[in-house]
Amino acid sequence: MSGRGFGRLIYVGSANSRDVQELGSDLGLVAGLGMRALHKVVADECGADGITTTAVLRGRIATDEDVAACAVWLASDVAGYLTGVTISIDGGLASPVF
Amino acid sequence: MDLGIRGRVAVVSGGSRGIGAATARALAAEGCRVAITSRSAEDIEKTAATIAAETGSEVLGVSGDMTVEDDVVRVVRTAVEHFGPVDIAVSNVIGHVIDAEKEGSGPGAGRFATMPASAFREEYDRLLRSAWLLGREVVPDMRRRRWGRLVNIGSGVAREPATHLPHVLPNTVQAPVAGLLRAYAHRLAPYGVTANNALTGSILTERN
Repeated sequence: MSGRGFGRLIYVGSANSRDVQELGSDLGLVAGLGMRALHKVVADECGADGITTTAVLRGRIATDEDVAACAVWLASDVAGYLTGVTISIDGGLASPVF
Repeated sequence: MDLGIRGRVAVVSGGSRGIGAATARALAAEGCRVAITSRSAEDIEKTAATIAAETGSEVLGVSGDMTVEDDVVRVVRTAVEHFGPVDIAVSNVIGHVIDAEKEGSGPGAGRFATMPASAFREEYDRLLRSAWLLGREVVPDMRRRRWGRLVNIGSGVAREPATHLPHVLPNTVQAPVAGLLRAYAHRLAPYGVTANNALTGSILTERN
């Protein structure tokens, strides 16, 4: 990717990694935060080579198609100025103002 | 200052120098009985003797590697045998250092593109698994006695990776460490046990 000046890394994880959930997995939170921090680091390190990274967090009732639609859009050329961000596919359930 | 912790039993890892030793000294000055640990038996016994002489409190030096499960179990058991159940546990384990000359300096220096997989796993063992292991060993007594303090010496990069430093390992692992402490805090609050993560920035220690 670096040599060709274009790349898309998309990490798909669980919306559990937003915070402790009453019924959620604590280990899922911890592991998910590792994935999300890693994608930020890669975004920073590889951005100059035209590589973007994003984390897509799947909410409990999201369908495969919901996640796929977002991932494909992130992979597209038009999403080239979006990197290092985390997007929740959760129907707005856990979306803060910022 | 009287912080109301006189007589409490504390365990501090990474206690032979730097932040760990300073924390142990402050706890001892408050009248806590403190078990400090580090990998070097010689260093930890020397620091324990120094802090005990300075503060007049009981300070026990126990050598151990906090990334090794059996060592964590033994360190906590030794502290309990000497002082009684642990009230305060301070997790302070330093991250990995990789080829500092080539990759920059400081704990966990290195780039994502050149990172050996073994270093990645070791950083998790050092920063995350060690904090979890120490918590696992001390939490049952804290819960039973309805009082406890878990403190982790973490890093501000947990909030946002430090982009001005090539520190891919702590940049990646400190966020899960923060998640662990948050999970501990949430689950243990009903039992009078608090869990907090101190996010450090640049700290002047003997390492600088």
